[in-house]
Amino acid sequence: MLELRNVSKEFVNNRRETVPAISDVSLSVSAGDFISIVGPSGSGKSTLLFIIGALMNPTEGDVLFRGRNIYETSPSVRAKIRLEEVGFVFQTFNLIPYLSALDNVAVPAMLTMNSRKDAVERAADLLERFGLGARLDHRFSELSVGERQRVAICRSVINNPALILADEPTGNLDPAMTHEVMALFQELNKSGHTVIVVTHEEEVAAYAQRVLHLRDGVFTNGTGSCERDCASTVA
Amino acid sequence: MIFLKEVRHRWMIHLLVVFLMAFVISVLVVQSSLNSSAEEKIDELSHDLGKGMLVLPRGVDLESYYAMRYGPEVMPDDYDDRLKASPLGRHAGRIEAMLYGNITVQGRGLVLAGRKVKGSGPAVPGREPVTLGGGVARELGLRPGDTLVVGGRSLQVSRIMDTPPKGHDMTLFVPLRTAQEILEKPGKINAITLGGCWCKLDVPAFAASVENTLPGTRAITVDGLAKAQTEINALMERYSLLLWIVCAALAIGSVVFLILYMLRKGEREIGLLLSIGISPWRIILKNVTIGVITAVAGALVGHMLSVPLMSWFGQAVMGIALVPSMGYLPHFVTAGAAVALMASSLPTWLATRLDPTKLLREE
Repeated sequence: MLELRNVSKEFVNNRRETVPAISDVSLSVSAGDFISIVGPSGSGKSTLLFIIGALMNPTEGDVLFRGRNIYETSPSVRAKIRLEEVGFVFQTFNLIPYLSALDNVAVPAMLTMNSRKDAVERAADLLERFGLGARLDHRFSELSVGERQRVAICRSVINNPALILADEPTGNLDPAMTHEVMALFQELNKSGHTVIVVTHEEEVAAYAQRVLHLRDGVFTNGTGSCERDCASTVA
Repeated sequence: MIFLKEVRHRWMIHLLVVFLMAFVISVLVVQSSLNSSAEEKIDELSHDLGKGMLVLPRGVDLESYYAMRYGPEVMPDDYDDRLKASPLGRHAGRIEAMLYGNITVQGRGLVLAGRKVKGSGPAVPGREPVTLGGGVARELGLRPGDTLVVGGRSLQVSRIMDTPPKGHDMTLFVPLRTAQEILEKPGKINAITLGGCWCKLDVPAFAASVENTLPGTRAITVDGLAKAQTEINALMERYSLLLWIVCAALAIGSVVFLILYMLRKGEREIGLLLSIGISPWRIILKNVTIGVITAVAGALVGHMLSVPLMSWFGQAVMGIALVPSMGYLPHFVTAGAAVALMASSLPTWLATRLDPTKLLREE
């Protein structure tokens, strides 16, 4: 479903020096995979996730989604891919503070569904399913951190994307909440979504079927090919 | 949906911009409609004023005066004599001092007019004469010789005017002293009318001399109003370009300020919206819509504000309350929307060009 071929990303710092973030990374992801990319801060995890999610152009290499190089498409096509095929979950939730939980979840669906009513109904169903039925009208400030992250996860899946990308989704959560959220990702994975989580915590990474270690922009425990790496994955 | 909730969330900043826009628009409406309004009003007043001069206590609203709504402003009742005795007196063929007031008789709102009556002796209580406008006589069913009680005083109807002075059909004419006592304004009057041929006079200069001779008064002539209007025209012409530049800068500045504020406060939101696949043009459309709605609201409020502003300005400069023309409303609403469209598009477009991953990472 997704393939990264020799992807590199370089940034230019304030002193106009070129700093490599990702170096010649290749990765193959099949539909239904649950992958963790684990590494210390500054290892390039989030950069890799943004490249996979059609948000950041790589300096070199190809990113193929369903066989099409997404960075050879127009920005509007990439926006459509993000809207319909990819769901993002962030460490800091990135909920819109003045919208209710229901509206936050419904926003992406309003652009893909025929009516606002359908989008809101679907958002309500999702929130209900994720145990937030009593929090529909609550705003960001009225939700606990665990609830915020669950709202963000609902938003990421409302358009039923093939791929869910989570950037340190448990970074702000306590252990109990961490388990709850990661169990949700497992559930989503079982229901057919491909999930890629980046984290710096090994315990969080262990929820995935496949764990890839990233250090200084390079995978240190494999090439990203499932056939070679799955055997070493912690289930 | 989102933009309405965003406006509600940041209502204070939107309100501030609405008021800034309103201020700009109200100033421009006043500037634009001042000349035409003044011209119309002077035409209207000149029918009442004719070629004569009206001397009123300073502070009297001319429109209220012509609408026969009399306020508390008064002047000494020897002012007419002082004018006659001055060198100005020879230019005035007729000088008449009056005290007008609003009274209620038998539940009807009437006007009481006191005037100096030549050669009249002290009034006899219960026999003080009153001349009635035809309307008063009809409404109250009075005839000459009947007695009428006004303010606790008995007046005897001496005459009924079949053709009273213009607008005085519902007026009771009494000796000045009687009016002063009924209206509780002893020794006071509130109008002097002057008539004469002033073809060879500089009328505005003559009016200024009258005002100097009678402190605390305002001498009103059609020529004086016209001169004030000419001065306003000249003032507006001199400063109109500057005014328009300042107002345009303020309008554009306030919308840009609003948009930049929204962008600064909503950087992460933009990053988020981009990351979840909302296209940049939708984000631009959202911000432009907010900018346009705010500007249009400001234009409407500004037009409403221009009503009291224009009235105040007209009173201050010409002594008459002016009304702004409604014809300018669509122009200013359209101009406000256009300014907002231009001022909000560029900053939002630039914001959508930023890297969403950086916006999302900002803590």
